[in-house]
Amino acid sequence: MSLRALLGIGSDGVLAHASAMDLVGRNITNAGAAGYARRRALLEASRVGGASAGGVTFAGASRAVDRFAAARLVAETGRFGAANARAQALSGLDAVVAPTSGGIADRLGALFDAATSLATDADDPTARLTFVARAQDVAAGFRSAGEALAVRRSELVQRATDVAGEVNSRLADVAKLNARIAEGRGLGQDTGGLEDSRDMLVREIGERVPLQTVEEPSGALTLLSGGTSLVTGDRASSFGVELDAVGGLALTVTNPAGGRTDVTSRIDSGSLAGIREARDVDLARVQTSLDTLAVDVTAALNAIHSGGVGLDGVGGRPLFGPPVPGMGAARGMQVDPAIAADPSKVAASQSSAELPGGNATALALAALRETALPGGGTVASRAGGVGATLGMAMSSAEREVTLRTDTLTMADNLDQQARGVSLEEEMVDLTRYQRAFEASMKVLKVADELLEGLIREM
Amino acid sequence: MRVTDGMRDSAMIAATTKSSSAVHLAAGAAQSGMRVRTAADDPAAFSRIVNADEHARRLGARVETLDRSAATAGLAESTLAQSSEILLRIKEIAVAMADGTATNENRTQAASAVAELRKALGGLANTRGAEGYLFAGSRTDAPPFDAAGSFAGDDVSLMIASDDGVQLRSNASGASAFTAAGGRDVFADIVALEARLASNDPDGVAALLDQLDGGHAQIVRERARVGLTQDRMQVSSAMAADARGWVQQARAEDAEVDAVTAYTQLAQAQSAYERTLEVSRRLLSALSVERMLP
Repeated sequence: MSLRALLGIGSDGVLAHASAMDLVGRNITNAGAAGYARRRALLEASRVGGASAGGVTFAGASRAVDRFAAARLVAETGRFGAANARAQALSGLDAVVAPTSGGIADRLGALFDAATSLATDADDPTARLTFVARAQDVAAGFRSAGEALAVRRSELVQRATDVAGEVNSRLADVAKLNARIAEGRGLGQDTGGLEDSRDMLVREIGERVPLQTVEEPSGALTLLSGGTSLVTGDRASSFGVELDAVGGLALTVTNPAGGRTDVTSRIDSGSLAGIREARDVDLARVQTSLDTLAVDVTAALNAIHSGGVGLDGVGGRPLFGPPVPGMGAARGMQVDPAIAADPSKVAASQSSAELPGGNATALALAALRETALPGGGTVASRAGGVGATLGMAMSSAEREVTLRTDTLTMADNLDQQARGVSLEEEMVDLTRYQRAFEASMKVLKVADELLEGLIREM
Repeated sequence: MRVTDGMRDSAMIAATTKSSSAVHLAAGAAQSGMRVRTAADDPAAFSRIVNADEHARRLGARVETLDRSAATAGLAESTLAQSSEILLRIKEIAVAMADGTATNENRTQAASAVAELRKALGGLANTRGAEGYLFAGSRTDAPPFDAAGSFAGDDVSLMIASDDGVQLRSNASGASAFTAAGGRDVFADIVALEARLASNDPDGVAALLDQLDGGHAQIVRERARVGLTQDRMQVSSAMAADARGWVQQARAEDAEVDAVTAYTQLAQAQSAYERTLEVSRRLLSALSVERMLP
């Protein structure tokens, strides 16, 4: 071995370990950066013409990523996204639809109290006025609950549209990154930073829609959702949200050529799935239950009321008018305008012969609180059932969030075990590379001293 | 297992968030004393609470109605008691005037006295309570008897609920107490007595004694029925009030949290939170980069 070769070995060592220390520095400074995958220095024995030259070279940096763990993390992120979106979509509704006091059950109870009071003094104007006011409270309670559900369902359409927009913008970014990564790799450049950014985008997309990924040899990532391609190379499809024939959310994917696929039934995780479940399953169920209760209450009260007569001797009047057209039974509930305008038309007596003190109809109205409605159950149990239906959906959503938070943490830990930075490890590596750097410097110095001595001797 | 800084950070954040959330929930329960504050807290309990609230409200309305009707029945009962006394007084006059020793002048004066008593009885029969005329049936808005004692009311029973599916008549029957529907037309009998006294007819007066007895008896019968009804109303009201108390107690057991349990849970949650913060502090301190540097 020549002294010149020794100088080369020392020089290679200095350069290689300086690069390795550079990587350690990057790892330390990016320890808290979201999506950063720690880099590992690839140090190889330097070769000349296939034979070992005795030194070491820095062959590049590798990203510490476990593809299995990363895929599992994306899947768990999607499940958490669905649970969280569902819980958020339902949050706060119970305060309007099923408050613990002042809700529909309380309002109906107050109406029955007013009917009881009317039965004890059927021609008392105050009792009649109170009865009409309580009937209007009932209608307002149903309208308010129905309106809250309708508004929330409408807001969720907008929210789903916003989420689809967020997905589309990220799909376009992934397509662009695919192109840059493929190009960079072709030129032998370090594309780790671009891949970190793309991994973050994939996770963000996976939080919104179910996602599978396939890495191509070029480094490009193909994204699929429910078997439909979202990104292939540098070309991205786009998500769309619309309403189907029955008013449900319909989710579509439009490919770059303009072909459209309905993927509604295949979107089973991610926030879009959570929004859809909250809107078209949970809230639809509560709304149906509320509307059915409104229909049954209206029918039962009207059947009794129209069998009696007002103080004017006229019978056959319903207590509640037909719902406002275009709205559901609850949202469109209203007291018959003639009765609202003139409480003397409230039917307390069962016949004109018993006027003005006859109270049989008022008594029958009050007794409705104890009897089963046409659809089964008393008024209170049915009203409680509406609240319980919403409460069950909300508590189920909240439990799902708790469960998915835990499973997401486990998946994140698994991913972090491969990808994450450990400062202790980096400190050890830093010391190790520092020592190696210092040793290489020593080799250089020895070679230099030998050369200097040789030159002096000559 | 390889433990990274990101794992430690997220574990610390998750533990702190969980502990903080537990403190928040326990503090809310301790502050409000409520276990179920929204339908989502416990949907089944929420449904039971709604039913219990309605049951308590229903019983409350029943108590109010029964108390109100019992007061009206009490007024009717005392009115009928006064009416009964007037009838007794009229009969005493009739018995005295049926005796052959009474003079023509005595009978003329007695006729005037009976006329005054009839007017007083008419006033009682037209007594007005909080819900209208007591003895008018369903025609509560007008006096049921005119000056001659003719009845303009009806005999409609105004019912109230005394229990689930059980009703009882709440109004007194003017028809049964004072008109021929009860057996005797009380006012017609008194008018006939006045006429026989004015015409100095002791035999005719004597012939009316049984009829006056019959009128008195029907007023007493109606008074007894009304009194019995009032008693049933008061008993039903007391039972409904008791039942309401039990329903409210059951509701409280569903909706509220025991104070000792709430404070214990709060103390446990606070202690867990403090432990979590201390562990986080120690971890952060142990991981200080400065300590690792040579």
